[in-house]
Amino acid sequence: MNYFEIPNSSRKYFQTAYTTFEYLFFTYILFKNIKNRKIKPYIVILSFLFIVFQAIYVQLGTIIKLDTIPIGIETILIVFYIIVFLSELAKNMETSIFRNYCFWISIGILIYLCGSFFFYILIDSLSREEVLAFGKMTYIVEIIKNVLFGISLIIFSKAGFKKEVHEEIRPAPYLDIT
Amino acid sequence: MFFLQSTAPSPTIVLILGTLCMFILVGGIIIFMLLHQRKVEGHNKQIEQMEADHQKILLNASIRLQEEERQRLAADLHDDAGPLLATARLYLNENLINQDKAALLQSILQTRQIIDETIMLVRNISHNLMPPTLKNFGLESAVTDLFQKISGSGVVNASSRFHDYQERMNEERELIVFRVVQELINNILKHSKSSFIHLTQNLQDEKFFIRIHHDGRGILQADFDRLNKSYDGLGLKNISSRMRIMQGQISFERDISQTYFKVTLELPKTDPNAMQKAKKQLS
Repeated sequence: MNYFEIPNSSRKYFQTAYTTFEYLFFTYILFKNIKNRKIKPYIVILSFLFIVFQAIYVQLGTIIKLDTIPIGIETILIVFYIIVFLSELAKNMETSIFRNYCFWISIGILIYLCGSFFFYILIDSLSREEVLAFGKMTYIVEIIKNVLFGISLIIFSKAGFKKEVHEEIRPAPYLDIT
Repeated sequence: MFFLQSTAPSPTIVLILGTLCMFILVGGIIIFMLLHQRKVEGHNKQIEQMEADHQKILLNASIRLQEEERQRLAADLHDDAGPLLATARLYLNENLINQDKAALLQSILQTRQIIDETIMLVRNISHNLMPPTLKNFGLESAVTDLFQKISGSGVVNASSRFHDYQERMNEERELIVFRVVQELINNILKHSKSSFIHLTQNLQDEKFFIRIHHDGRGILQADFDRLNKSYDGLGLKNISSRMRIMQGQISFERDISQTYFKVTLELPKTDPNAMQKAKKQLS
């Protein structure tokens, strides 16, 4: 089904669903790879609030061309998660960041979101010609994102599906010194 | 006034400038990560270099120790066994048959005494190389024997308790553990001025533990690491190499009460080297 065949009244549901799904997909990948346990609850809370906001926005908000406000919030939140992830990765001095599949995913998402951020939030103010012209720019960032996702897939498949084994901290054995 | 008079910038300009700023931000992040990665690689190379240097020091220490051991053996044989055998030869010279019966008997008795002394000496050298108690009765008996000898001096109260040593380790591992314990006890006796030494052995979670407590002056982990990396402390380096062979760990600390010094040896219960060999053979 063509997007433009969707009636205007239903488009906002489609757009909201798309933004929510995109947000949840990116957030899930980053959430799985962020190891800081103090940050994780905040991600869950922010995601919950975002979903609540989306539910309210789809009922009360008016959408002209695109759901610009949710896209703006989604971008800011995901860029924040990416910065958290990359700073965590930078602290790990043991392994090369290029061997981490999520590094490539996060850079891909970052380029995609940052390249399309202003276009999406200003889309309502742009003319049809401008939308068509600048819309091509989003294709470029999307291609870059897909290439980086491809690289991450190769790294992930090479690394295998090894599960991390956390060593248990063993208590010291009993000791007599009598 | 300027801001009031000026009109709002067109969305196209905001879009271009904003997107440009975003790309600068992304570029900055990527450059930072690349520079950081180079730093990490440099750091890892430095660690590898340090590890290689450490290995070199350990190898040198091991060679020096071997040389010292050979020199000691050569000295024992040359200075003690050599003169004894030479004296025995003197008694058994060609004039022996020309001597009268009493002198002959005297010479034979003297020779026999010298040969007995030589046998005893060779036995002592051999026992130093491989204690017979360790070979025949195992680590527990050898350690107990060692501690009884120390206690027998009356200066230090030495005791040992083996809680979980029903099943002996293989001979090679027992000898390595015994040598480590011997070196540690030797260090304690030489440097710590302690009045008691207590050794405990137990097993937990497939790990073999030996703990040695003493009440003298001891060293802590930082001192051990420092000495291990320096060119001094040959005995400690030797301990380190032996623990590495057994894939074990050694730690130096104070006990919970902060009264005694504690040395902990932690080894895998089963010989990992033997397991690897067995796996290779199977494959």
